[in-house]
Amino acid sequence: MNRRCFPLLTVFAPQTVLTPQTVLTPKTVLVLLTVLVLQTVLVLQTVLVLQTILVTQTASAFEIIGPSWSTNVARFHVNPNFPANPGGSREIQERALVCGANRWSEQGESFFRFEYRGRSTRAGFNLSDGINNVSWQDRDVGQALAATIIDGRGNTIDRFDIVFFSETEGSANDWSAGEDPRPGDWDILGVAVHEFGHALGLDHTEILDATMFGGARNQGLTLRTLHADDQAGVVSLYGQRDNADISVEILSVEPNFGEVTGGNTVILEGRNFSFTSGTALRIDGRIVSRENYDVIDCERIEIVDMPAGQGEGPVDIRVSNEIGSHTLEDGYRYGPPGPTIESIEPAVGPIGGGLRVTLRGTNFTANARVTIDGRDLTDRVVLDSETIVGTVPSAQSAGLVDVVVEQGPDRVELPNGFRYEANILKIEDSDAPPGISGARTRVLATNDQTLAGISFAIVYDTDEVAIDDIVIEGTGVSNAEFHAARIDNEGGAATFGLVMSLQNPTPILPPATDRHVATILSTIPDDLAIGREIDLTFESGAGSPPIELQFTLPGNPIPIVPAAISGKITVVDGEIFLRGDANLSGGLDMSDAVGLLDTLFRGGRPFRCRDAADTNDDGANDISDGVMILRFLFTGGIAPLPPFPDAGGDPTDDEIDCEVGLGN
Amino acid sequence: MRISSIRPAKARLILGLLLATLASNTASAALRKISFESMVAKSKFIVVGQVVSMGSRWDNLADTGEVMMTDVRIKVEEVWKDSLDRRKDIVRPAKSSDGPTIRELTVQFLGGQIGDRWQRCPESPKYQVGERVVLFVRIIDGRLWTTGWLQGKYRFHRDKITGRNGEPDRVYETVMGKAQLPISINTPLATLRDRVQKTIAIQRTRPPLEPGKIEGGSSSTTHSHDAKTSETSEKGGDR
Repeated sequence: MNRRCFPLLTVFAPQTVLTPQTVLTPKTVLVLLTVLVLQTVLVLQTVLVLQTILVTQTASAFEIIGPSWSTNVARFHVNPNFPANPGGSREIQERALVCGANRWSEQGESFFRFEYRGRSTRAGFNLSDGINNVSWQDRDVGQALAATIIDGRGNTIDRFDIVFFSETEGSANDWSAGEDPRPGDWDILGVAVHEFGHALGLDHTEILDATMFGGARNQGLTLRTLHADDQAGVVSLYGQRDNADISVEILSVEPNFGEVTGGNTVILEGRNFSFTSGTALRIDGRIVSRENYDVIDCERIEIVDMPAGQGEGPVDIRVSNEIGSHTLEDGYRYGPPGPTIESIEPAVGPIGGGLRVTLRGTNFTANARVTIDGRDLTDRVVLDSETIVGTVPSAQSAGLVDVVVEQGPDRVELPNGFRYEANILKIEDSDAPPGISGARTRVLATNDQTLAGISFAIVYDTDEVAIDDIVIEGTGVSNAEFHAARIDNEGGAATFGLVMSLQNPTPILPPATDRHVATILSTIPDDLAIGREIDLTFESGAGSPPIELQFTLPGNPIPIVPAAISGKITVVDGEIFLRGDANLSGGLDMSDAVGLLDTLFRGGRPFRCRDAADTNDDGANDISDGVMILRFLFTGGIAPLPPFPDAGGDPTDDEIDCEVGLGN
Repeated sequence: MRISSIRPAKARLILGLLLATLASNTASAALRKISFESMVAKSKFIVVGQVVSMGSRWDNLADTGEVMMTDVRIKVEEVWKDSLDRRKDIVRPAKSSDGPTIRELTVQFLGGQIGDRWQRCPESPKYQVGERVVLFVRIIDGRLWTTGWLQGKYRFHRDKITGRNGEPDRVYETVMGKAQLPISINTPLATLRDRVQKTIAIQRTRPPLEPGKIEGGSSSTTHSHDAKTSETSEKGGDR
C-alpha cells in the first residue's frame, strides 16, 4: 500500500495499517471508525481553510495603480464624437459617458467624485492641455478598445484622458450608447465605467464580476454596476463615505402634479437610473410604455407623455432596473397640486397642549384637517393657502411627533415635526414700533412639577435693542420673594433669576402651561427699519456671572433644564393691535363684537384703535366687522385678517389708523 | 526551508488552477481578448529574457497625441519564435551561433517617466529592471510592442529547490498566468515552451491568410495561421 495516500492514517493509527492479513476484530473496527471520523473532520477543516483563503483573496483582490487624486474631485470634459450609428445622438453619447463617471460617486461609497464640466471638441490624448478629456478616435492601436492614460507627479494624479478607438486589429468596434447594445456592439456606458475606474487610480482586478476585471462579458454591460471589490478599491484610495447608498432612488418629480388626462412632460430626478431594457417605470402601479419616457442619464428620466390617471389624487411612482427599485410614494398628483407642509412654528410645545401654532406650507384648502400625533389641531383656521393656525392638542408624554395634513385624497406629513416637552421656557414673539421705550415681551414657563425658582440668560444684538429691565409685576409670579435682573447692554446679555420663597415652604409654582413669569422691557432704536426682526435668544451660561437656564425644584438640588424657545421682536409701523380686538383687551371674544356694534349704532365709546375694530381690514368700520367676529367665534366663519391671530402692526396701507394700541 | 521554498510555488499553482476554472471565455474590458493561438500567430518574436533597462521619451501614439513611451531593453535568453523582419535598433542578433539567435531586443509600451512627471496606462504591461519575462512581440510602425498590449507579457519565477538525501537540486521555472490573459494559469516554462512550439507547428500546416490581413501573419518567416477566424469567434461569443 502506498503510504503517501494515507498520511493521516499513519499519523493517527500507526499500528493499524490495513494489510490482507489484518483480522477485523471489534476493537480493530472501532479504531478504524475512530480514525475515519478524525480523518473526515481534518479533511473538512482543510477544505474550510482553503475556502477561507480563497474567499479572503477574492474579497480584497482590487489593485490600485499607485497614485491618486489629491482632492476628491476630478473634473472632466466629453467629446461625444462617436459615429451616430450605432452610437446614438451626441446627447445620448454624452449622457452615457457622464453616467459612467457618476457611477463612481453614486455607487463608489467613497468621497471621490467626477465632476462633468461640459463638452469639448478635442479627440485623442493630450495630457498637457489642462483638460481631462473623454473622446472617440478613428484609430486602430492594436488590441485596445479604449485606453486611459493618467498623468502626474509623485503620488498625485494631475490629469487623465480616455480614448475609445474605432477599430482593433482592422475589426470595427461598434459603440452603442443606447439602452441595450445591438448584438456585437460595445456598450459605451459599461466600458466608460471601467475606464473612469482607471482614471481615479484603480488597476485591473482578478474578480470576475467586478467592473475593474480585465475581462468583461455581455458586451460590457456587466461593467455598468460596481462590484463590492470595485467599491473596496475606491474606498481604499479615497476613504469611506458615510451613509453610502448604491440603490436606485427617485429624489424629485417636476412638476409633481398635472391633469388627470395626462399627456404632459414630467422629469424624475434621482440616482442610479439605467438605460437597460430592464428599466421599468410604473405610475400608480401601471407600467408606462417605453415609448412614453426617456432615460436622459443616470440621474434623470423624462416622461414625455404622462399617462392618464384614474382620478384625482396622489399616486406612487416606481423605477426598477438591474440595480434595484424604488417607489416614491405619492410622488405625483393627478389634479391640482396637493398640500405640502414646510414648517410648524413653534415646533416645541407643552404636553398639556394649548399652544397656538402656525403651520406653513402650500396649497392648503378650507377643508384641510391637521393632526399632531393623530389628534386634531383645535381652533384650526386656514388663513390662506399657505398658512393654517390652530391650537396644539394635549399629548400623553414628551417626545417628537408627526404633523399631518389631510385634504381630500391627499395626506402629507412632517415627520417628527413637533416636539412635546414637559418643561419649557419661552420668549413670546412681540411687536414694537421703532423709538419706543418699555416695549413688553413676555417670558412664559411650562412645568409639570412644582418649582421653587427659575433662572435664565438672554443674548441680543445691542445695535438692535437695549433691555431696560426684566420685571415680574403683572405676571403669575408677582408674589415671588426674590427676583433680580442683571443687564449688560454693552455685552448684549441679560440674566434673570427668581425664587418663590427664601425661607418658607410657600409660595411655590405649581405645574402650569405658559405661565407668564417675567416681562422683558426694552427700548427699540428709532432708526430700525420696519419689518426688522430682533432676536432675543436664550443662551445657557451667558452673562457675568454666567447663569444657566434652569428650573429649580423644592427640596431637590438637581434642577430641570427646560426646553428653550427663543423669540423675537418685530419692528412695526405705528401702534400694535390684535385684529378684531375692538376693546383692546388683548384677546378676541364676544365683548369685542358687542362693543363694536355699540360704538357703531348705539353711541358707545369711540374706537381708540380703528384698525383693531376693522376686523375684515377693508379700511372701514362697519357692521361687517362685528358680524365677522361673531361668525368666526360661533359659526366657523373665516378668521379676522392679519395680524390676527397675533398682535402686530397693520400690514395694510389704508385710510384708518390705530391711535392707541396695546400696551398703552 | 526546503519545504517552505516549494510550498509557495505549489500554492500559486493550485490557486491559479482554481482561478482558471472560474475564468471562462471573456473579452477584456478595454482590450479585446486574444486567444493563445492567435497571440502566437500574431507575434513575430516570442522570447524569454530579462529586463536590462528602461528609458522613457515623448512620442506620438498612432496619431492619437503626444504621450510618454518607454523603451524596454530585453536581454534574450531563449528565442521560441523568430522573424527575419529585424531592425537593428530594436532587435540585435546574436554574434555567434551559440545560444539564442537574438541577443537583445527593445520593446516599447505606452507610459513612462520623464523627470518627476509620469504617465501610466493600465492597458500597458508593467516591467521592472531585472525581471525575467516571456514576451510575445509584434511590430507596429517599425517598433516592437507586446502582442495584445498587456496580454503579451508574462513574468516568470525561477525557484531553486535544494535536494536532500543526496538528490540533486531542482530548478522550477514558472510563468505567471492571469485569469484574464491568454495564459490564464501559472505554467512551467518547459510546458509553455512545448505548447508554443506545438502551436507554431500546427499553424505552419494551415494555409496562409490573405496577405496583409493580419500584421505578423503575412510577414512571419516561421509560420502561417488563421488568426482572423479566431478573432471573429472571440467577438461573437466572448464579449
